[in-house]
Amino acid sequence: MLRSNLLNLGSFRFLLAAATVSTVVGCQDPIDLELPEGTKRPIVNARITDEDSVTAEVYWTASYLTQAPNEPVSNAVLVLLEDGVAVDTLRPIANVPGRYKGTTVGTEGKSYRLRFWMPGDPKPWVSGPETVRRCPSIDSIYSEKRPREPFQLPGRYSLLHFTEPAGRGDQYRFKVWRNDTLENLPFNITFFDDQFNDGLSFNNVELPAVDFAGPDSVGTKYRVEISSISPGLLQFLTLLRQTTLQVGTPFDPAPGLVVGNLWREENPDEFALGYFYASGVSRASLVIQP
Amino acid sequence: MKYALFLAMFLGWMAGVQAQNSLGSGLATLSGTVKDASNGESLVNVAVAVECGGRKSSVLTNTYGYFSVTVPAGAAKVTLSSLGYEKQVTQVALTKSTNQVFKLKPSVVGLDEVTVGVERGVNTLKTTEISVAQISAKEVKKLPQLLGEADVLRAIRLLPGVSSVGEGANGFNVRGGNSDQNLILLDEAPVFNSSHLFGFFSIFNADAVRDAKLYKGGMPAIYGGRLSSVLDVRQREGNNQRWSSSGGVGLLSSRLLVEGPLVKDKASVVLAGRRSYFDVFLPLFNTPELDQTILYFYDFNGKINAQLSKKDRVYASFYNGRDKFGAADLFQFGWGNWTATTRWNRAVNDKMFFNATALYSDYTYLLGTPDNAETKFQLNSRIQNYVTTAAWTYFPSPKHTVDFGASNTYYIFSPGKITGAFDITLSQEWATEPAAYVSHTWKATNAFSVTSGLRYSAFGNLGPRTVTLYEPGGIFEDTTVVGTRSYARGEAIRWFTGLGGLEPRFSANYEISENASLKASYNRNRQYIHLISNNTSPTPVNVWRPAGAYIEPATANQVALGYVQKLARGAAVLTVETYYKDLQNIVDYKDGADLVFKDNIETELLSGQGRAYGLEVLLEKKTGKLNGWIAYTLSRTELQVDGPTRGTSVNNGEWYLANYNKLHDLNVVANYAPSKQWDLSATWSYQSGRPITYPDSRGEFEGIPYPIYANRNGGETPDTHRLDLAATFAFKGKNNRKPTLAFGVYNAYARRNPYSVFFRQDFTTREVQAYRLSVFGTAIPYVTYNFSF
Repeated sequence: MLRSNLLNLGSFRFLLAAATVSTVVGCQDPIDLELPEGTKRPIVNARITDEDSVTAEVYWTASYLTQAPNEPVSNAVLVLLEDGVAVDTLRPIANVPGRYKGTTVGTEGKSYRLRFWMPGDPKPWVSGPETVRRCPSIDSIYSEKRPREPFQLPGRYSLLHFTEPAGRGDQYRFKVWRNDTLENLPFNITFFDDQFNDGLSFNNVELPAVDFAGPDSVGTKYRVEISSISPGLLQFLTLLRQTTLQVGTPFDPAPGLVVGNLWREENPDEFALGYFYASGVSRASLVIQP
Repeated sequence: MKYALFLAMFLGWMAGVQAQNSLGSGLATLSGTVKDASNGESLVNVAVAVECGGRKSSVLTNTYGYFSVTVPAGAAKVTLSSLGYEKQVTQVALTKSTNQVFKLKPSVVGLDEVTVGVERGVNTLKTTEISVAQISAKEVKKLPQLLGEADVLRAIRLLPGVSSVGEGANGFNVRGGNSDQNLILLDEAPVFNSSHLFGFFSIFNADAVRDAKLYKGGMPAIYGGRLSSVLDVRQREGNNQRWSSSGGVGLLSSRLLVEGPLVKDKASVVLAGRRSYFDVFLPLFNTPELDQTILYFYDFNGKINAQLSKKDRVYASFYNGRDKFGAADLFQFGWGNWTATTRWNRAVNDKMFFNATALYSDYTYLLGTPDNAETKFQLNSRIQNYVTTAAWTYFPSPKHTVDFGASNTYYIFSPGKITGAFDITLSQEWATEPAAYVSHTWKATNAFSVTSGLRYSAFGNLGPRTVTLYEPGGIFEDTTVVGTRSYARGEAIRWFTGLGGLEPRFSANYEISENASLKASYNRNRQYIHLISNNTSPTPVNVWRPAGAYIEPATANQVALGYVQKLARGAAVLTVETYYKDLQNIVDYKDGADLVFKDNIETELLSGQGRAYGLEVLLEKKTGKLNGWIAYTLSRTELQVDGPTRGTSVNNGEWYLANYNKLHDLNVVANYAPSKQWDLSATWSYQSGRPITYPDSRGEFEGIPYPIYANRNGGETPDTHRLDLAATFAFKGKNNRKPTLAFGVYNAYARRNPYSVFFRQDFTTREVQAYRLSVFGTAIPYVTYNFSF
């Protein structure tokens, strides 16, 4: 089974047991608190895949307690470098503040970086290199009907089969769209590496199929994307999930700074937030049938 | 240079020892053991004063109840005294060296005269011991309890210099040390997880424990392997006079102890067991998922000892405890310790005492699905210890005592093995830690005494193992891997030897007057194994990893100064101590470190340094109807991780507060015995808030808002305080066999003390709310019926 999911399952069970004990006598109360105001930093989330051209979203950080969205940055300059050579300048997307798009599609095996300038700041920022990696195709996608069981509601569950290529060192991320809407809460951040499944097939023979959704009713549409990601992005997603989900019990890890692969070109210690990544992708879709 | 100076000083003193010993003509040695007359158990720290030929010498019995004192030959007056026992004065014809067993009768006092069974401060004016606290099981049982369980560790935390990150936290912190820097020994066997129920209770069954001694500084040279403290817990030996049993029935746990003579006066056995039945009450919560929940802990203690001859005594003891959690066929989770100790004491001659110990310690945890689950999965982790020790104590004269010995600890680390749906094992690690020590206590004058010791330890991380190799530069990341190297079984991956393994120990005592003394100490400690945990408080699934190819041993240097003053004609003792400790090569963690089931753990670790300093005040009154203590600690603990890159530094390499730092820590303990039947007790604790990391801004990744924690431990939780109350009512019955009813309430005014503060965000509206997490959100009453036959 997937290492990440298994170990998260392990953590979940541990936390469940711990929570069983602590909830008997413990409690959580809302309190008022003033927080310090941190340094305002740029946020750039950008990606290029072997099927899609490069895209980016650019913001400023915001006060943690404000409900206002992060301020989008519309007049940043973003340049894509392929194997060290500038190949594309991203253009703002009309009527979508803070969003940019280029024309270059990623090529497997090539290395990409992003260089960018924030408005009024002549000093460039740069990303670390990201390589488009191979991504296995999805062998099949289907749904199955399951009865009610302890901790399982009855209904139709969606699964997929795919085969992890032989050779250690691969990392993957899953994204799922339900009825054309990306499932995009921290709990939906799903990723794993091939430490425990190198060269094996998630086909209910070698390993259980990947159970990605359910229960749902007939007619529900799903679109799934698997992307091959770098160890750096895996680390970033791990920290993102930890920081947003694993809070509130005595057994949670200490909060950490979620920093990606973006920094001031002349001073790597000065960091921006967000992540620029390159990946190969595989996609499949499903409509749950009676 | 400092090592050379120390060695020169030490050798000089050893020459003094020999010179003194050569003056032995006309002297006689009285040696022997002191025992409890009621049950035959050896008594520790009994003051033995021998007066003969106009010279008076006094010593304390050691951990095994043994003493040796040399005086001019003749008719000697021997006085034995110990708190809780009748003073005994005996005449001994000491015309030649004599070995004798002395038996002390427990004080026949009513509850209105009862004294707290604390040895702290009793002999502090006389000995070189500093930063040491001893607490007996009797005292622990008097304190208010959580859910009816008398708890040694909870009592220890009421002493100055000892704290924890919060209520219900696993482990404890001593003088700015992390919780893995405490060497916790149960009958000399190291215990790797001292908690039941995630930290709510300790594994030490107060019925089976004789006493616990905590060394916060000035550690004797026999101890090593941890930086900050030694908690030496000794199990009872068992009654060698008559068979008896005792126990208690509580709301959530019960316990039973049986003890008796195998051969009267010669051999005894004690067996104790305890089990919680928390799970029995879970159906009352009307939650179907809880109905099939397994949730309990148990532990067993046993000890047997036999006097083989006048000179030889052997012991064997064990501990086995485990916590078990589970839900139907969905998951199971358990952890526990096994320890086994065998020991041989021999009075080699009237001036030499020998102790040989062989022991085994084993900590395991299991996480996974039950055997009947549809999809099987089990994760097992384990650490095993095999320790052999030989220790001698030589008493050449009343002014000199020399301890020396050697030991070896062999470790097997099995950080993780997964079986079931697939089988995967993390590489095991093997290591050996040889050590030798010598220590000399010299009573230079009636007022001045000094203990100087030297410990030397080494550590070898051994194969078989395949070690990952990284680019030069000391940055261990997946991206800097350049290859691997395989090591054969027993082949040294890395040895830590050389001068770094020297651990000098020094402590001195100067009696300013009959009622006051000054103390000083220095100790250097080295620690070769680390508990890998980036949680606020360690959890049972954290694993220990050894120093090796990329992990360095940590070291600590501590100096302490102390002042002890007897007050009210000895009825009370005031102790004031101040300390400074520096720590090197301590382990810290990268942001978001993934520590679970990780082979190349070095890719997640950082290395740093620390400094801790503080002032401790302890005022204790040990006698009278009203007794107890007030403990106050003012302290600060800071860490620094300044690596070559931003990713290998914390807070840009600046000093930051440790998450267990507490500026003020105040504990008030009061026991009051208004009548022979009633015994009342209360504790009140106050601690200032501890450092915590707060977010200072918000980022966003593909539509997911997230907090930005740029300043580790830059915030502080609110202060905490708590009152606990207890009462014990003794029913009528024979002395020492009176059943009692103990009841009380933990957190009497239902204070919701913050364990931590965290934030919850609505990821759609981005609304953020801060929450205070309280482990104990209400007053928790308890009642326990205790019996003895």
